[in-house]
Amino acid sequence: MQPETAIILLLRFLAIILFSILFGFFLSWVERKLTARMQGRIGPPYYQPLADFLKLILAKEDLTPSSSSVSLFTIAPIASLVTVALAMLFIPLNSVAPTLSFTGDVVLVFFLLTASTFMTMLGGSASSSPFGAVGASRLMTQTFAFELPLFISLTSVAIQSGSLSLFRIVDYQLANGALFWTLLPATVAAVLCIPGKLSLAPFNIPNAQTEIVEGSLTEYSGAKLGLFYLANAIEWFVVTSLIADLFFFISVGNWFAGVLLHLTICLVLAIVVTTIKASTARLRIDQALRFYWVGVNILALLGLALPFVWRSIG
Amino acid sequence: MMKKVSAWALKKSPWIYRLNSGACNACDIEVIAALTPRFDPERFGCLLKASPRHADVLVITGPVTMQISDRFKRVYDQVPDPKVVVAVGSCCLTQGVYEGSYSIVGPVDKVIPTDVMVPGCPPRPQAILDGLLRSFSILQEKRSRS
Repeated sequence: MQPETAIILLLRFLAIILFSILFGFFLSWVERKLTARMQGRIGPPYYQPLADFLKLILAKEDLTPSSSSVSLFTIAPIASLVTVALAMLFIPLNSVAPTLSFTGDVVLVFFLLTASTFMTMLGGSASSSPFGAVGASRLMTQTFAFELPLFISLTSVAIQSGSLSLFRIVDYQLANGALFWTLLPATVAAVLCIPGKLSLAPFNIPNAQTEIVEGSLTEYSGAKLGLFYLANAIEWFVVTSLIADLFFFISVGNWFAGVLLHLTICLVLAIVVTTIKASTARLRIDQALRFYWVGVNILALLGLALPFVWRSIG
Repeated sequence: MMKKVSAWALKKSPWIYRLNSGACNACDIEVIAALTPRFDPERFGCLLKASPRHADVLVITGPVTMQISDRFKRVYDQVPDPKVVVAVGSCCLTQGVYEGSYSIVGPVDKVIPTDVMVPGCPPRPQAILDGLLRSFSILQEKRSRS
């Protein structure tokens, strides 16, 4: 590889990650502000997630519990941030090609998202706090719960488009129209998995404040907590972008308009998820498991059958 | 420059941890009232946190009892610097009706340093909110001085 191309690639990495951080902050602000408005409050100002992050990184003391496993406790937030930022590099923004792409990258993106959650679990387990351990075990159960329907709806997309590459899936939708209508049950199933992935009500079971303090993050403070905060913000953008790419691709001529459209779809998904969050109460872990494995799974399986139905009809 | 930014961020994002050190529950109800949608401290960036490790502002109600005294100091140490302590209610300041009791160590500032005191039995939510806002400025000052 030429040194110039390497530098350009590196610059693209940095630009896309910086942008995803800023837009992730915007999405998490939308979530907080909208929840506040629905509860009849004023809500935080637009710079709130940025102020929270800067405070944690720059101003606060970083404490590590003496009984924790120090190396794991330190590595977990960094690894969580790196994996989720890496996932961002594979995601096309409407018709703009992703920085990295190869056949089968959808599987890698899903793996990286799970790895990020896994790192949070690891951090909770390493913190030596019982709340951290309980939070980690709940997070694991919840990951099992929502990943099954999420993967099944991904499979239906892969079968319909005949590809496991995100950019190819987008290409397919460019030629044949968005998969939203063709695979409606799978779309609904995938959207219902977003609150589970982001641990939002009614699936905020892993960080239920009134039961297990802050879950896996109980013992974290200062810069390490800030890294988890950042990873969560990027996760917002990655998860909504992924759903937007898989199901809601709408072609517009100009690339800039395409990116704007993509961001709007992410925003709409965030608003839908927030509406669910603000209007529901927390479920128990067994109820969440049943919801995903029975209710959402039936939708996803229905979606899985659809590509074959369309094919037999012709 | 860096210090200015971090002091600003600290003032704009004070996370609260609530601790009852032996209060009669009246002040707790008023603190909760100050955190409800009617007063909405989240517009100042406040979040109620369940872990002291995440907190910047420690909101305390009640006199310090013998039972809680040591644990109280431990919770205070678990809050990462810079931090401020807001003592809510007359008992925090003077022991109030508990003065002379056999099971009381003393007012809050005998055990840990206190930054803001909100008198009243119990104080109104408006007064608590006023105390919180003052504590945010103290938080910012602490950062810019350090």
